Amino acid sequence: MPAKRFCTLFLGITTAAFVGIAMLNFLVDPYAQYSPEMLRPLVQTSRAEKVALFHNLPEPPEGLILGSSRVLKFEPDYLHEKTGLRFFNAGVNYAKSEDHLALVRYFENQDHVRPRMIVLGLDLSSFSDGNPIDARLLSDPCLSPQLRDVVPLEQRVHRWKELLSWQQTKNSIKSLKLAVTQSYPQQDAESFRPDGLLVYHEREAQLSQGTYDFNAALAYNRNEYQQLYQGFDRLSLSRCERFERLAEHCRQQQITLYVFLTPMHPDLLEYIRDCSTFDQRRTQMVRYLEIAAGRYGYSFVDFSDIRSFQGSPELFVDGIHPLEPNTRRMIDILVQTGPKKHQYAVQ
Amino acid sequence: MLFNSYFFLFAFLPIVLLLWWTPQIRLSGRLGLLILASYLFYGWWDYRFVSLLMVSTLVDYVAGKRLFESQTQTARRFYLLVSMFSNLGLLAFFKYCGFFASSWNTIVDWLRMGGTMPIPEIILPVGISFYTFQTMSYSIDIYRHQAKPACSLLHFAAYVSLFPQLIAGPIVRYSDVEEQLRSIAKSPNWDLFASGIFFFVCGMAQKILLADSIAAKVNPLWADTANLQLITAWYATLGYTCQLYFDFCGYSNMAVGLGYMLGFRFPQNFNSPYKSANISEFWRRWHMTLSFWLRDYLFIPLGGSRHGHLFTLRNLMIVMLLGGLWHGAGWTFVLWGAYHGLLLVVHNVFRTTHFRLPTWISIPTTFLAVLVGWVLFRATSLNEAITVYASLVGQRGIEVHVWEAPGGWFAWGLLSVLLAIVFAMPNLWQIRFRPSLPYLMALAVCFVACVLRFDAESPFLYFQF
Repeated sequence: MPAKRFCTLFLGITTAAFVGIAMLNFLVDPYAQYSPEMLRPLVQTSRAEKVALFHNLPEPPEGLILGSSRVLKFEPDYLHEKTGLRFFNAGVNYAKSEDHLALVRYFENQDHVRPRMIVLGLDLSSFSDGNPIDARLLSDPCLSPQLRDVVPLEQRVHRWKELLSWQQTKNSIKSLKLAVTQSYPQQDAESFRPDGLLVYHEREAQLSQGTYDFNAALAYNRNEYQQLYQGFDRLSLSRCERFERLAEHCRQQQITLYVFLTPMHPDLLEYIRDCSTFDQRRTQMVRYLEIAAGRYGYSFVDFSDIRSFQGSPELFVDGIHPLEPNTRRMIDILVQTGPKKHQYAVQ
Repeated sequence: MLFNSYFFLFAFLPIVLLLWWTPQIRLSGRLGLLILASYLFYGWWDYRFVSLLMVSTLVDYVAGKRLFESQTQTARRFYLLVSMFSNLGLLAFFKYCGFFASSWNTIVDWLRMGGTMPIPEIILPVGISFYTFQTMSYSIDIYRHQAKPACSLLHFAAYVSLFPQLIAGPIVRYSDVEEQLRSIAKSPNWDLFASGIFFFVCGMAQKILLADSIAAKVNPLWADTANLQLITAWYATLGYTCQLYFDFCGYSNMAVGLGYMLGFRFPQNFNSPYKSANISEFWRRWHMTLSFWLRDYLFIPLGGSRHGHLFTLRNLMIVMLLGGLWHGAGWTFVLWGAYHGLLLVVHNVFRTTHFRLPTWISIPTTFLAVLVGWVLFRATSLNEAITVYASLVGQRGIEVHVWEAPGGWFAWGLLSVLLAIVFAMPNLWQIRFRPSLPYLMALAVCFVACVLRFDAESPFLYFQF
């Protein structure tokens, strides 16, 4: 074969392959990043769902619950009972500080009414630079514009780079297979109530029947969290900066802010303490949040260990997700601590 | 900028190649373009250090010119010293300052003398060890009348900054590329370009598919050396031995491939080093351009093997000690250099007896000796190295589940494949590549597979040196 022809063919074949793979990943969109919405994504799309639920609320909420999937069982009704304010659970999967900031900004821009109270659950692992900004946040047409001033260009183009990633291609093929065989997991395994509270239909049924495999769920978390803590050698400066933007906003607007570190099941906690930098990062994080609490005037409680709120290890669906009775105990303590005075807001 | 990044592959390289092969652009324009592209490539990591590269280039260009023009030996020595001081000064400041300060502090602490000095935190400019060696070789070659100075600053700047080999070699001498820079072809040599694709894609596969795959298995083991036992210690050491080879050899092959695409021929840097039958041969096959640099600019000026056996042994030891220090500012690297110096001394003494081991013994023995040295090279401290050595000889116990210890069948399978490639396959320079359909399909599949793995961008190991 003549060398020139070889080079041209090489360029042609590889270009065609890249275009084909990118098209496949874009159209199948297993992570719900590009919104062609042709096939069901493999991941939960709680950000879009929460935005839609917010629009369907009869009146704007007076309080917001923010955090990752670990706060999805915080009941707006119970908080209403304790504070007298109407709450909306705006927790989303894998939330990090940019998610909280985007959600608050978006909700405020919609109604021009600011919440009076925010209950914010922070996951220690979400302050690692190892986890990039969630592509589902960057692709959400409502939330993404809220972050123009905080998300660097590099992070914005990241999801387009993923069109040529091995992981995405693998999951596109998996997604296609599920679509062809129609073997999706049960549609109604989980759903949100109108106030944003998560209901585990399938798991709760299994729990009541005694058929739920807790150990399998815990094993999954062990593996997941070991990876999350790999290389987590310092708190992410950008995540701290975004958190402080929210705290500063709350201070300026006199929004009462309760911040807490989310708990883990004791078995998972013990495991992760043994095999990762959890203890060092937790000490660092607690110190950081305490200092920032003095500066921004919010209340902070560390619930990492369930003993801090007399939590029960039986009341978890897995290693990280507490059930309602546990979340109520946390709410009781949070509300008891009361808001710190806004030391600087009126000066 | 990394070769294994989307930006390099889909933006930087196509634009550079298109402009480089545009027939309308004159030679000086193309050289200017190459320098600009190389500075962009270098500055992508940290733009501040581009000025360092520029200063180094300017100093050596002027020194080289003056050296050539000077009539007296004193003046020639002076300009050579200017070049040496500027290059070694850069290295001393950026690479060794912290090491010297901390070593000084350890000594005065030990002697209880007081007077410790603050340890400066200086960022090590990537590739500094490589381009300073290149510019030093230029000045020394002119001093020795083995080369003429570059015909223009553009030619010299292009030589120093040539992006394919700027960061991690091969260490190219000016005499290697002088003629190539003077007579750059107007249109691509397609045979050379096709070879460039072959080298680049194979190098990328070595890095991404082989080195990074085994790295995923051995890095967790090296991160927890306190818990290594016999099997995992051997797996970690063997795995790292393969990782380092495929990583560095992969980079060198990619650099050679990129050079071919631009019409330059760079020297070979690896020649199946683990197939060496003795340690001296190993150093003629591993990082060849560095070995030859150390031979020509250090070993020979020290007297080489001209002043008797004892002096030869002393010179070998000095060269390897400094070679170790070149690799990294740390005592583990110095010890690694000393270890290889000692191996070379032993080999040299052994050679005088005219006793030869059969190849089936000498190759595994050499491999084992090199492998033992990599522990020092990889360890972050002497204590860590001692821990691993203790595990390697079974002092820290033996795993009960041998198969599962390093990660099951995949981990063992991967290591076996890599070792098979190392020992049984020819290297890229030994393969007679001809553009053909099977090569085309194999390279295209390899290339696409590599690009899909870019999502976990990983820098090359030798960048740190």
